[in-house]
Amino acid sequence: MIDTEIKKEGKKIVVTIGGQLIHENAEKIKEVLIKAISKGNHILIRFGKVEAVDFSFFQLMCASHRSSEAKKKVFILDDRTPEAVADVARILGLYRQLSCPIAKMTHCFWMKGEKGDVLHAH
Amino acid sequence: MEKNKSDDGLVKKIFRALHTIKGSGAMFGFDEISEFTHEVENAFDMVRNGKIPVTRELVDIGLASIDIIKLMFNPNEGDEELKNRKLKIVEDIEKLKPSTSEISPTSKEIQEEIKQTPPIIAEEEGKEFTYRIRFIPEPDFEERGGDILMLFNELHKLGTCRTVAHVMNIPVIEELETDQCYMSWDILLTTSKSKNAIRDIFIFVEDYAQISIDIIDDGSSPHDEADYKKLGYIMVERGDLSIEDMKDILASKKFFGEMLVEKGIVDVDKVESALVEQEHVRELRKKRHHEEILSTLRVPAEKADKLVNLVGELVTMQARLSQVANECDDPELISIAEEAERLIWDLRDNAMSIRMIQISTTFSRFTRLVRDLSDELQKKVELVTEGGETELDKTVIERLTDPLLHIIRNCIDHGIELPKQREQLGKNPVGTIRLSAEYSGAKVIIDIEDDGAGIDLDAVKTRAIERGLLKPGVEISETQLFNILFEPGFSTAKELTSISGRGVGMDIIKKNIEALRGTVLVKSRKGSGTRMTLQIPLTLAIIDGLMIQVGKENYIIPLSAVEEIVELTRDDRKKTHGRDIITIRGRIVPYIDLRDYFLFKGEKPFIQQIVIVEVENKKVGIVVDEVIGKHQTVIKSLGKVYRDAEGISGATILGDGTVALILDVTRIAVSMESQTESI
Repeated sequence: MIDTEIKKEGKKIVVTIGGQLIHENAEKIKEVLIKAISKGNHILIRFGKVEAVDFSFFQLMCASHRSSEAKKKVFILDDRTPEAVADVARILGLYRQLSCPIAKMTHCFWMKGEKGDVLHAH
Repeated sequence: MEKNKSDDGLVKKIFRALHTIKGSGAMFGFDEISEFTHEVENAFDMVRNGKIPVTRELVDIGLASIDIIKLMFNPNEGDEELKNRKLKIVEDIEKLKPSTSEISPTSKEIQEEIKQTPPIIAEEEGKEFTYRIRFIPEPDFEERGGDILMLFNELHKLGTCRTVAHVMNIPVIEELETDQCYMSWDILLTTSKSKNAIRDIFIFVEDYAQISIDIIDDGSSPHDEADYKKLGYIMVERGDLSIEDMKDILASKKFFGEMLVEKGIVDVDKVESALVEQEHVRELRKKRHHEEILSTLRVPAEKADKLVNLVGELVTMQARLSQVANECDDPELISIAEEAERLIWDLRDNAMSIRMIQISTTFSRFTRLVRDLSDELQKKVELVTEGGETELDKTVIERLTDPLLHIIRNCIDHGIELPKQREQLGKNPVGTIRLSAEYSGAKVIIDIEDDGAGIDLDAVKTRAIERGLLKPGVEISETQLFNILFEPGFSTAKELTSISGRGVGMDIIKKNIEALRGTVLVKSRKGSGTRMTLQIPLTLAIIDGLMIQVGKENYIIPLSAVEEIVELTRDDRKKTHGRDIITIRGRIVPYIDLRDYFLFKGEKPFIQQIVIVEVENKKVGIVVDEVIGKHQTVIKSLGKVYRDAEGISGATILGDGTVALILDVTRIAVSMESQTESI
C-alpha cells in the first residue's frame, strides 16, 4: 500500500508520499510522479509515514529528476527525509560527493554537504 | 628499493627524509649540505612524479649521497676528493633527467607499474582485508527473486562497508520500466572474513548478476603513512579507463576526475566510486597507522639498561632474602620470600624482554655491504636473510655486528668466485650468502653460509705446518683443522686485499663471539661453500646458572650449556687407570677436574659430580665437588685486571654477599682438548 497526495502550495506542486515504497508498488508511484511533473514546474516530494522503501523508489526519484531536468523543471526532495529512507539510501550507496551531470536546475538529491548531510534545494 | 621498484611509498619516504635534511641543514647554516641534498631530492622528486623509473644508478646515487652528506658534517672533510664526489653525483643526477619527450610515462611503464603492485595473495583468517566488490545485477534481478537490500544488509554484517551506486543508466521516468533494475554498485568492504565468505552471500544470485571480488588492501601498512593509489590508477586497474585516456587527462592541468567527466571519457559514477575507494583505503590506513603509533612507546635505551641493572640488583637481593628466610626457618618469612621470588622472576623476564630487539636490524645493514663489496670485487652476490624476527638482547646484537661483518666480507672476498669462474664450474653466476637466525633453547643460532669455493683443508694443513702450528705427519681431525683458521694471523690467502687476507679477522671473530659467551663452528666443503655457525646466548645480563662448589668456593656454570650431571667416585677413577674419561650410555666423555684446573690443594672428596656440558657439539665433563642447584645469575664483569683470566667469563654476587665466578666452559673445554692432544 502507498499513500500519496498531490497538492498545490503556491507555485509548488507538493507530492506527499508514504506507505510501502517498494518494488511491488513502483508502477503506482511512477504514475503519481509523472502526474505531478506534468502539473507544474516546481515539484517538491514530501514524505509521509514511510513503512518500507527499496531500490526501486530511488530509481524512480532519479528518473523523475532526470525527466524534470529535461523539461527544465525543478524536482526536489523535502529536507525532512525520514531516517528509514536515509538509512536505505546510505546502504544502497546513493549519497555522493560528485553531482550527477544531468543535475542542472537543482543539486543531485544525494550530494553530501560539508558535514556529510544530504543537500536539498529549497 | 631495488627489490621493489614500484614501491611508491618508499620513494616518498626517501624524498621526505631528503627534504628534512635539506630544510634543517639550511636552518642550522649547513648551506652546502642543504644545496647538495636539494640536488639529490630533485632526483627522487622525478621518481616520485613518475618522470624517471627506479634504477640501479638511482640507488647508487642515493647510497653515495648518504656517505657524502655524512662526510659533509665533518668540517675537516671539506677536501678536494669530497668536492669531486659531490660533483660526480650532481652530474649523475643530471644524466638521469629525461628529455622533454620522455617526461610523460609510457603506457608500458604505467602497465608495468600496475603489474608490479605487490599482489595480495590470500586471505588469512583474523586479518582485516579490504575488498572491492563490483555488483551488476541483470535488469530483471528483482523479478527473478533477487533482493538487493537484503544482500547489502548481509554485507554490512561482515564489516565496514561503503557502497557507491551507479545511477547513470536510469532513464527518464516516462521510459522507466518499474520491474527493471537500472542500477549497479561498487562496494568496498573491510572485513576479516575471506573472499569465499563474501561470495557465499551472492551464491543464490550469481546466475543473474555479474559479481567480481578483488582484494585492494591486505591489512598491512607497507610504510608508516596512510597512502593509497592515485585516482587514475584505480580506474585503470578497474578497467574503467584506458591508459591512453589517462595520459591525455594528465597532460591537462585540471583535476583528474573533473576532466574525465568533462571530456565524457568516464561517467561521474565511476569517478565517484574511485574517489570513495581512495578515501576509504586512505582513512583505513591512516587509522591503522595511528593505532600502531599509539600501541608503542619510545623509551631511551639508557632507561631500559638502567631498569635491567636495577632488576639485577633486585634478583641479588631476593637471593639474600630467600637465604635469610630459610636460615630463620620462619614459615611466614619463607612464604613472603617465595612470593617475592616469583614476582621478581616475572619482573626479570619482562625487563629483559624490553631490551630484546630483532636481529633484522643488524641483518639489514649487510645489504649495502654486500652490494658495495661485490661491486668492488666485480662479483655478483645475493644476500638472503632468514629469521630476522629472532630477538636478542640489544647489547648482544650490538656486539655481534663486527664479527658478522668480518664473516660476510670473508665470504665475498674468499668464498664467492667471480661470475665467469662460477659459470665454468656449472654454478649460478650469482653467488648466494645466506644469513639466518633461529632460537635454540636459551641460545640463538646464526648461520652464515655461502655457495662459494669452500675451504681447502689441504692448503690449511700445509700452511699450518709452515707456520709451525702443526707437526708434519700428525693426523688431526677436520674440526681441529678448521679451528686452526682462528689462530691469530693465520691465512691461506695468497694475496692480501684491502678487504681481507691478513688473517686478522678470524681470530677476532672468535674472540668477539667468545666474549659473548658464544661459540663458532666452521663447516666447509671444497668447491661447494662454507657455513659458519655462531651460537649466541639470548642475553648477557641475567642468566639461569647452575651453582657448584669446589673446596669452599662457589662457581656458576651457565645452565644452557649443562646436559646432565653424573656421579664420579674414586673407584670410577681407578677403573680408567688415571685417564680422565667416563663412559656414559656407551659414549666416552672426557672430563676435567676443576680442582686440577684451578690448582686447588687438598684431597679430592670420595664422591664428586661430573657436570656434562656441550661445547661445539661435543660433550665434555667438568668435575666439581658438589652441585648446589639452580641459581639466578646476574652477570657482573670482572673488570680490566681479571678480564683475561682463563676459564672465567664473569662473576655474580650471591645471597650472602660473597662472589661466585662464572665458568667459561668453552675455554675450559678447549684447554682440556689441547692438554689431551699434547699427551
